[in-house]
Amino acid sequence: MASILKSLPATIIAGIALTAIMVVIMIIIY
Amino acid sequence: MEYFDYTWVTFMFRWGHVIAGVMWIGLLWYFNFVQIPSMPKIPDEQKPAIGKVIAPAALFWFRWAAVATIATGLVVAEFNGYIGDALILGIGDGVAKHTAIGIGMWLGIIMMLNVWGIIWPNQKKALGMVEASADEKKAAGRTAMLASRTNTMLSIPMLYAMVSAQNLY
Repeated sequence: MASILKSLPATIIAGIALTAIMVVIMIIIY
Repeated sequence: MEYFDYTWVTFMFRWGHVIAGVMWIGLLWYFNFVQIPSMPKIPDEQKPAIGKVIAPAALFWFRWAAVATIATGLVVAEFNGYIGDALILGIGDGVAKHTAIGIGMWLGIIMMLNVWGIIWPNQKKALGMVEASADEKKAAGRTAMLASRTNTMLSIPMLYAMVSAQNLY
């Protein structure tokens, strides 16, 4: 995790990935 | 529309929430997109300008904007009548808007606790605002940086959740 957070681009990609997971969960639930 | 009625007052809090939120996340992104990557490029004799002047001022507005954002956000949720449903992520009432805004609220609350519980105490050590040895300063700087990066990562789904609650659901 720390290695992702040390890189700004990797941090942004991780943020977008978390968002995608959230969107998928919202689609499944609703 | 009516001015000074319930809807208008609620909107005023939402306006304040957006202003405080822009200041908070704007400064978070300043730290992560501008200040941290620029530090290695700044000559050592000029570094105190950042460490002693700019960073403490930015951190002041940053941490208090975080409080103002959460406080005004909770007022908006209460005035709109969904604070309880949102905080339990819409479980029970099955309203997608409550799930979305609830995810955003919890991410924001976690980020605010991160600011006050991890980033600020460690920045005080790293910037020499409290007593710390050279090793402690170095470790505190690294912890603060990773915590700040964590908030940068969380800000992306947080903003999606917030804006989607307003516009998609």
